[in-house]
Amino acid sequence: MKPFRFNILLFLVIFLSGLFAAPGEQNTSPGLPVESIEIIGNTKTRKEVILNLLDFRPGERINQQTLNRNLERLKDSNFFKKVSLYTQPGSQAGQIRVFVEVQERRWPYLQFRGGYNELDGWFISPLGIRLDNFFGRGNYLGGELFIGDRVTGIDLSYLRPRIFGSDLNLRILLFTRQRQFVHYLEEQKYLQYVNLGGLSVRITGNHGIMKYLWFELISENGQAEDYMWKPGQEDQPFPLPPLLSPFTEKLKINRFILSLNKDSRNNRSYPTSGWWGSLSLNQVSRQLGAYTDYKKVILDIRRYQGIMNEWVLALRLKGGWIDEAAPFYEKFYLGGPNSLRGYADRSLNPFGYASRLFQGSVEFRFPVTRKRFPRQILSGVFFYDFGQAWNPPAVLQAKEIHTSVGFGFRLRLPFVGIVRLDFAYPIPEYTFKFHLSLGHTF
Amino acid sequence: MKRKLLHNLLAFALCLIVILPSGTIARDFTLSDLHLSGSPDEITVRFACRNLFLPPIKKSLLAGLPVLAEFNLQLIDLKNQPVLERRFTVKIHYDVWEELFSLQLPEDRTATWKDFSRLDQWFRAVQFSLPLNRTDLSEKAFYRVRISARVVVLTRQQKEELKWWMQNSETTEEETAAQERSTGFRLNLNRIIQLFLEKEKKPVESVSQLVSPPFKMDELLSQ
Repeated sequence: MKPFRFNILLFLVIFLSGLFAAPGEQNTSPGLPVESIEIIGNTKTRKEVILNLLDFRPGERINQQTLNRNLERLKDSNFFKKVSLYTQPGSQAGQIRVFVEVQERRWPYLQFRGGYNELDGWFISPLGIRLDNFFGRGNYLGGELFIGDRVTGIDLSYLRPRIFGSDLNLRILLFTRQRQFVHYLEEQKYLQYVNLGGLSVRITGNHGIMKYLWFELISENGQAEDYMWKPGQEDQPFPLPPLLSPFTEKLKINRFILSLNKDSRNNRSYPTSGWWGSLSLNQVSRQLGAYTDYKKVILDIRRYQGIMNEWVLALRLKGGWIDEAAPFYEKFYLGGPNSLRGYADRSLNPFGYASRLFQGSVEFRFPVTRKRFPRQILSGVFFYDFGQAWNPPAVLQAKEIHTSVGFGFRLRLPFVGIVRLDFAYPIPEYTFKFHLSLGHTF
Repeated sequence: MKRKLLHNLLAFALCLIVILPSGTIARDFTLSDLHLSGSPDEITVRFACRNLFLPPIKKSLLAGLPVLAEFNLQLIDLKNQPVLERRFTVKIHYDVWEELFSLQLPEDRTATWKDFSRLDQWFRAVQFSLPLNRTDLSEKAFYRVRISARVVVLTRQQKEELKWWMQNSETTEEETAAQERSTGFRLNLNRIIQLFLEKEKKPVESVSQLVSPPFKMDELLSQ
């Protein structure tokens, strides 16, 4: 049997075994019905605002997992200095009363943020400031500056929960970005600036079908610079190859995004059960520029399945499709710490990026230390990645699928969270590649 | 008529005077009904904990926070000097989802009940043993047994909160497939300032003590 067929077969066996494996350590408790939700300690924040942050209502069944998830949501709102979410037995056996006890924050919210983005590389946001909860309505006005090795940008956002008294939330974002895009031409690495900016209006919700849906309308300007350069030699510009030249014209587009999302992971730190799934549909209409209208579809599915002794089988499949008329900075890329780890960042897509993407990963994760599980200090992983990024008339072909294997460690550090160290080998070359990043690969 | 009304009012006032303070006293956590028995190797101490589950403690317990009952048993001489000492810790926990009260006792023993009254009942006849080393004790001397009890709700203290906050960093990731994979962390600067400026809070706790009348060791062993 040819090696690539064996790889695909191996992946399918593992993926299917993950899908149909016994529930194992999953929290499958049906939970108890909520008799009432009582809110304590709010002197400014309106009760509806706090209720809107919860994704359950009286009469619905909840379990410990629901409580944990909602506590995270309350904390993530950052409206409160302290939040506790606890239960007491209800007036009838088998029911519970839920209490949300809050201590409100009076000063503006300040934050420091950092991380690693697949597109932008390492970044920090040295100071984010937010003025919020005006008249206890749960709204906020915030600003954030990003600086990174391949990005600089500013975000100004306004959030208004419960628009027109409904359960829907409105977020308006004014953004500007300068990104560096990586190109590989004759095995030489080049960089090119792309400037983006615009206004986005997003509608989300925490209840009913809106728990899973998200609408966004973006009016966006984009323009790629008409030169590129080799890393470290920005003062020596190279002319753009013909394939990239059309995109230096100023582009003005309107984009509509419909996103379907589902997150049933039992925890974000080290999920041992559940799904994360997202389908994103983009319809882009041209206002100004040389392109025609185009569509973009991305499907990303992740599955986490506890096997035994806190070993977890984690699976990921991602597919992307975009009209070929789209500018290169909208297209797909492959290779690097978040896709095929045996290869350099974006080294596996065609020059000018790809309009089709198929990629997947299988990981066996295991805790090395057990203290404070699932927030253990050290865990390990064995992984297998595969994928192809192509442009028509090429097609998805087994012999064109790139694969890599490897192992890694996840070290939990104070403040920063999980630091990811991956040691990967492409198949069949087995030339060593090391990646340092944050968080899990998926 | 007026006299009868005055009489009733006086009787009511008297009732209030008698009932209210006794009610307040009855609400304190106390140790009582101490009973001692001896064998050549140990003294068995039996006592009752009354009003252990005061409203704030019961509320925290039912909210899922573990409650710790610590007992310190001492054999003391007449100068109040401890001759023997032993500590016992009992962890009380309520599983909200299974609706079960459980006790984690010394030597890895456990007990579970569905009913709160059964838990309360267990604390009305608590029994621990003090192992004896007879060579250290005089049979003719007088001794007493002193029990100190402390009930504390296991909430996170400020130092622990800082540690917890450092270990449980706020991690961030992308929200939908439309966004690139983005992993990172967020530091809430207000939280850092608040942790250092805030005063240490006292945990919810109750304490009580009980001392036995003096006894001679040979009298206790002959009972």
